[in-house]
Amino acid sequence: MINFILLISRQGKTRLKKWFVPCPERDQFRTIKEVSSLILNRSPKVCNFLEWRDYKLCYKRYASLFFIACIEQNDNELLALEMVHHFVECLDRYFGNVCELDLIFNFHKAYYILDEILISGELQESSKRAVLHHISEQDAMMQENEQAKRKG
Amino acid sequence: MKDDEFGRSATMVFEKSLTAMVKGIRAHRGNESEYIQACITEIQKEVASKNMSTKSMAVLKLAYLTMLGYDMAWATFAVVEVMGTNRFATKRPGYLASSISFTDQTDVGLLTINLFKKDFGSQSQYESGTAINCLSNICSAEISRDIMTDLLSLLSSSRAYLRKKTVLCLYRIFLKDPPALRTCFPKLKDRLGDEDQGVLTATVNTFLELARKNARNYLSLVPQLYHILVNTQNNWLSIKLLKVFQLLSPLEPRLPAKLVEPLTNILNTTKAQSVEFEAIRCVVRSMPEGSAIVALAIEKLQTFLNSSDRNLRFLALDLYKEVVEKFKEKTSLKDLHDKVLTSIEEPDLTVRRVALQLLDRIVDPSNFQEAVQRLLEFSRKATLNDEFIGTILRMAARDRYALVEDFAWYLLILGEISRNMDSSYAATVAEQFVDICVRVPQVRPYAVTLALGLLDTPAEAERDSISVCTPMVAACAWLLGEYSGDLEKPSEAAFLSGAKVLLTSRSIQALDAATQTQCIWAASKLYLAVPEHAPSTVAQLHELLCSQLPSFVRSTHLDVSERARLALNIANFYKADAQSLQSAKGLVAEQLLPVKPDAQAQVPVSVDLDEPFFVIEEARPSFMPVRADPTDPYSLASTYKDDLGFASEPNRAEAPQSTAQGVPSSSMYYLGKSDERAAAEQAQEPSVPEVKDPLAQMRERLEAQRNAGAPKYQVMRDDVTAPGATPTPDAGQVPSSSSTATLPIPPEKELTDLQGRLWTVCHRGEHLAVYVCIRSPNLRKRQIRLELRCERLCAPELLVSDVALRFPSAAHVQEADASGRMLVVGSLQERSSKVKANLDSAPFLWPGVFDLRCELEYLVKSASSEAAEAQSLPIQLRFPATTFLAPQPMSEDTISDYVSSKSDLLGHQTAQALSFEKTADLSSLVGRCAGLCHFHGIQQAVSPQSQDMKFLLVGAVQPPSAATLEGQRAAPTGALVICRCAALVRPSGLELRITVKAFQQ
Repeated sequence: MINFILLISRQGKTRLKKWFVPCPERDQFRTIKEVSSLILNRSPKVCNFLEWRDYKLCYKRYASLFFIACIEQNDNELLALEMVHHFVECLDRYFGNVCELDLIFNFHKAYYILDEILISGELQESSKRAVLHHISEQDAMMQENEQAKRKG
Repeated sequence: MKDDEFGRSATMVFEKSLTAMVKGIRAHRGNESEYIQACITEIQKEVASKNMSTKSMAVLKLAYLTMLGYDMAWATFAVVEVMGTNRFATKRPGYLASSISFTDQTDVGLLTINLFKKDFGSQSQYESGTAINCLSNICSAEISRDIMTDLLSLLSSSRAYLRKKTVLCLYRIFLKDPPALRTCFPKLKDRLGDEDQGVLTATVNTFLELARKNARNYLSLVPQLYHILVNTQNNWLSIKLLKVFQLLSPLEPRLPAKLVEPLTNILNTTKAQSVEFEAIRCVVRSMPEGSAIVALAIEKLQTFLNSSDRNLRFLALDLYKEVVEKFKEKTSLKDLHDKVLTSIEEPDLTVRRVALQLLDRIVDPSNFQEAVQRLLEFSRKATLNDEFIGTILRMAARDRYALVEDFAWYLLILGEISRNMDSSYAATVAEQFVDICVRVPQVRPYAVTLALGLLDTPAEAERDSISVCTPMVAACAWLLGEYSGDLEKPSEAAFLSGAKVLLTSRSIQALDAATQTQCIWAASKLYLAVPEHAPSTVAQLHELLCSQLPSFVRSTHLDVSERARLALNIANFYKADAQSLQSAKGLVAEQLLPVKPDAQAQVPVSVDLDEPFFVIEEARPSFMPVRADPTDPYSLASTYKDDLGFASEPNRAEAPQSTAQGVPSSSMYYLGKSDERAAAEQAQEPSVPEVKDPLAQMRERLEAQRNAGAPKYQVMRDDVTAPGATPTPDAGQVPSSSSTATLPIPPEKELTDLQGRLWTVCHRGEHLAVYVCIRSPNLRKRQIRLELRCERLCAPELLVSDVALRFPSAAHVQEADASGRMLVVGSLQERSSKVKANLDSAPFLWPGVFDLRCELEYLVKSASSEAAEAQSLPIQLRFPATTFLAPQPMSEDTISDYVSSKSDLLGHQTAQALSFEKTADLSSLVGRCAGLCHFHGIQQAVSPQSQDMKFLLVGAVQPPSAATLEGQRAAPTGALVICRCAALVRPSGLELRITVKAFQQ
């Protein structure tokens, strides 16, 4: 089970944080600080897993962003990396060659996509097509709402 | 797609879109916080607005700011309001904000219940889905109780999208509200048959998480899960199933065998590395050693280990730790060893740590030296070297230095480590240094020289400071003092420089008090040992002591001052007179041996101080040096392991002799050919004028010594314990302590022999007698074996034949046929042979004396008459009351618990008193009785003064069974028969009082 997912820029800025287990905000920030300093300081030649407290951190760098998943000791690390990759691919398809700026200006969309991929720290949809279909349907619902409102 | 639907929704003048805000923040680099503060003020106004779009946008902007670290707790109520709007466009940001900022502690939680109820019933699956998402984040026990019915109906929703989300969300709910699991379990289990792959995966996922909490509860799901595993092609699902089976297979012994086929299949066919790895992990964790599938898995693991992907290498290394731990067989270890050593060099700390742990487990004497050398090299290169050094020390110390073959070499390594001042293992290094010297007498000559070298570093001459760590200074000082006799002869120079370095170097006085004390006393010991080993330096040493000690006497540390004064007084008393100093030898004559930490506590309190604590064992000479003859290959091959205990008396005699002859290199390390010896000496000699690193010198010595033939080390692995302090639990002895002990029940063979002698007559009639011997029942097979024999009693002219014993129909006898169990076929001679009958013990339920009514049938024919006369007589086989009891292993406490809680099962009590003339070996007697009567026995505590003994015997009655036998009824379930047996020693003899407690009949 994934405990939390973080997107951290190379400069250490949080671009997305999602805790699947309840965690007070203060602890979240402390964790973000600790984890990001750990990971940003790792050389690119080392492996993508590290043990942290009682958990394992699996991370991967995509362009300027580090995608970090914190999983439990007995979870499959490779699977966690695949999940992260799956998320990245969904983002990429949705935004069309996603870049950090997309995530900055549309941070809520990144969350919406993540919510279609993971729930309570588990993978719920492994098909990219299905994820994008659900997202576009929801986007359409919002558009309709907007138009209805403008008319009315 | 990229268009922001909020970008165009500005309706109020001061309202800013999210995009505008983000742009603004980026534009105000340097003073963002000021800008953001202004935004928050705006948002506060917007949140109060009546317009839901405005409100929703405000909440979304807040959610963004939360990510930057700004508090939004003040807006929780607004968030709930936005979540409650009718339109998805405004609702969605509300749910997003709540899932980012709410936790189960947020107190608006209860306001959300009706929202959830409403949205779960929405027409749009996305509204319900968003709500489930949010619920999984903020659920609490109260919320769970109120919306459980709605969730249950979602579980069987027609939309797979919702079923999937609900199944996954449920796990979080069970964590908050465990009773909900009971309600949901049947419906959740049904989802294992869901036709939608996503829902199926989700359900397995949820069960996996549940099984991690308590796997036993989910054993009943094994058939379904197994079916899915065999039939699925889905990688995600396979991994989750493999994880579940890892948890379940230790609990169900039949499972591993069933898993062999699907696991082999996965290992051979899967293309996904994550699945393959999980399958390997599953095999390693759940399959028994030696099976073919384990070999296959390890082979696959090897390829991971050699992979170019560093992630796979790391995982493989990590898993290998488990492999080595679980399967002691060392599969292709040579390969692994190299692999591990290269992994240790990796800059990746995680990999390195795992590799070090693995190295610790796989190292053996043949590669230990190489491994240590490599570790030491790495530790010099690395900035964080403690883990390398820690690993070296841990490996070496294991099983009392089992891995170390060349102790001189290892001491040198310790010396090198101690040069590293930063190491946090300094104390451990010093401890090992001393410990090895105490345990390995043969290494002492080398060790003392090394110790002297470490203290007397050339660096000191320049900077006047000792370059080894403080604990090592103390260790070296102690060694110098204790083993000065092992210094190389002629040792005058060494004695002098030793004492000098201990007393004169100014940095000593900067060290802590304990180390200074060590140094002072070591110098005194050198002085006391001088007449024996370096007589010509008495005067110099005496002068050194007298001139240097006063400065220590003035020390601010009391201990140092006191010890210095004592040493000074000793020096003043004996003066520089070798003759009088000889008489002081006794002060330090006693050798120290490794002592167990708890030895002191084991010395009896009532100790006679005039008696020596430890009896000096005769075997002491076994620790004398064993000489290795370089020309004798067998002698070289043997190690300290196989010659432990062989005294080499001749060598011992030889050693002092050669000293007397004044051979300069009489040390056992210079036994090589004469030219090698010369070379060694050469290496030695120029070192005096030339300033050289002592460690380098010692390294040369080590080389020389190796060339000269491998030294043999004998390690005193046993610690000295207080002799006779551990009482051997001798049966029949009055227990010395007041603890209870399990009564020694004789081994089964002895009991069987005893039983074989207990024959009873069960019939003695006109023609024949029948004897029976009743064996112990086999509790597993629920059978009892009877042995039967007949004896002829009648006159010789009568012919008795075909004796059979017919058992009642309810008592099933395995060997019996229609005519019962035949004891004699044909005519009965003087005595029949032994006949066995295995009786079903199930119907014997009642723990009381029981007579089994049987029928004895035989034919009698007189010599005169033609026809044989059939006889049939009723006989009774008597079973003693304890025959069908089973020993019940219990402690005294559990028995007293039972007695107090189950008093209704102990209503019946009988007592008996016996007396014996003399106190026999009572506890073994009672033990034998307990064994024969199927009791578990405990010897109870009595006061140490009295010789009285108390025993408790416990036996359990037969479990109820369906079979019925006349005169038998079931005893209450769980009933026990408890005997208390008190033996009182009286002048007249031994009185035994036996009380039996059992349930009321």
